[in-house]
Amino acid sequence: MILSNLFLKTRNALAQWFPLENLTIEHIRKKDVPIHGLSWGYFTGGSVLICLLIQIVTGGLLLFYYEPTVSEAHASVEYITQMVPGGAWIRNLHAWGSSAMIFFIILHMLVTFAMKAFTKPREITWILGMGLLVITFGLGFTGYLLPWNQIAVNATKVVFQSIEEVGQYLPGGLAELPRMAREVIQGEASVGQATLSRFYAIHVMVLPFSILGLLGLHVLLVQLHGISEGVDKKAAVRERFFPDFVIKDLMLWAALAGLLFTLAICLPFDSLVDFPLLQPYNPLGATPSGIKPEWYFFFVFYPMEMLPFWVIIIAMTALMGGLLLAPWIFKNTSRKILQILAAIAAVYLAVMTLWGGQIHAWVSGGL
Amino acid sequence: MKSFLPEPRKTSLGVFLLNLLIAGAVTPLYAFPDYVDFIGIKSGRETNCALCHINPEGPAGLGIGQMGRLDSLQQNKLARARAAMAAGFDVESPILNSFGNSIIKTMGRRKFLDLWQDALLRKDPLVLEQITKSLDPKSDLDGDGIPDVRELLDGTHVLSKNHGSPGRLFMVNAKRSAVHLVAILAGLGLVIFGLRRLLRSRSFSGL
Repeated sequence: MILSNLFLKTRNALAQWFPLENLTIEHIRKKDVPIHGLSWGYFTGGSVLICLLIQIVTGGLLLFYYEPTVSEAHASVEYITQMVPGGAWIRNLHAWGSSAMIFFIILHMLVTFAMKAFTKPREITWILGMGLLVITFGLGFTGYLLPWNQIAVNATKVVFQSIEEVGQYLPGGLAELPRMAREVIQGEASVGQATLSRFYAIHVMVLPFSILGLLGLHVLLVQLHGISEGVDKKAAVRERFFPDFVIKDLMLWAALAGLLFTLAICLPFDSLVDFPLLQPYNPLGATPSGIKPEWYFFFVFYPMEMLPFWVIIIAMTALMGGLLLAPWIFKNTSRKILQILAAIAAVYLAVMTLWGGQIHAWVSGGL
Repeated sequence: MKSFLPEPRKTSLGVFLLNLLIAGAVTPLYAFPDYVDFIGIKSGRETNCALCHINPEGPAGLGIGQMGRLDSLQQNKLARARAAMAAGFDVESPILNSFGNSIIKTMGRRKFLDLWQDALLRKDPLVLEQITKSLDPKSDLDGDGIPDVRELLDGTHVLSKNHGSPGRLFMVNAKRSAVHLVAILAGLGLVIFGLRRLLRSRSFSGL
């Protein structure tokens, strides 16, 4: 009896989460998109998708010349940039594309949160989205090491060090977990060839296939459930998903591609970094100053520099847990409150990304 | 502003002149951290010896482009470079990169050293800015469209065409690639135009 109930509950839950009966051409034709104050947010998902496509194409082209060995990695990247026809453009497009992808995925998450689009029956769609967010950050982190320059290797070392430090705040046998995780990912005593090989494999195989799998499921669920209403009252004005919304999405893709192409042609990503940090990693040399992660980690990097480590661990655990369990934690929270929370998060991210360095310098100087 | 120069010592005129003489005679032409400090002050960017030297760690050591690794041929070249006291000599110092060599060729070693000592004596880092007035204002060794002198003051790499002040590099590349940019943007603009027409088309909406 108990088993039967459990089976029924599971079947009902699965039927709600995966309404496969909606997988019809008729459903796609009937699908519509509400138009309201936040409906611009519906385009953020598509923006992530175009960035991902650019990353796959440019990343594939970079593989033709990139050599994942500590002796050749930096030289091969320089070869791509200096010698290969169009190489600098492809590499810049990959670098700008990664930043754009992370920008849009964060924006997509914030807008989805503000719209309360994670409520029943879209819990799985939200959780898959969180997975995609983590994978995207993972792609950024692993890709950062591949040029094997000073900033790449030293920043990776700092991250590994931080991972291991988490252990001292964990109880009993769990305390060893971060160290073991570090050893597995790092592959040897210090960041070296084994680390580069692992990061390379993770960056070009493990994470891309994972992201494609999760993304397929995420998009399928969006298709099955339809577009979330996003506002409390059903929007009076609506447009058809196909062709109206799809055409608008394609127009945005073209505009975004134009922006990224222009940036890739006119502004080498390397010019944003001081040149000593771009030189080949020298294991025997002094660590140059100014080592920091990519901009999308500033929201945690600068607080880590200013606050005790345990505060960061608690904050990050609460943030990740809160986001993952948002469909249940914020089940009864009004959209107004969620919009305020999303706005606060957006302001925090913007301030830490743009002025985190100055705030850190000010706090350090004042202490 | 905190001075990057050492505190002056009280010395007699004789000792001072002797020091000056010795400095002029034996100061080797490498590792001038004062120049690196000056560029840092001017640009706000981190720089290192790779501005002018082959090795980012400077010329002392056993690495590539460092003193301990020079063979006899390179040592001869180094000696010839050190003898280039006046401007105009072709310098091929094995410890300097092409920009470092071009500085010595344009200024001469004597003027370079005088400038450095002048900055030390006056405690004025801006004296080192004189170096930019001595160099060819049009020289652009990496061909990135930004003159070497400007790159030096911006603290960006003089020999990398992918490194420069972002604003300047953007403008230079936009001008250089104007045709490509216009073609790309026109193409994408036409795509957007076509899609807009498609969206407004009643016959298509009726599908």
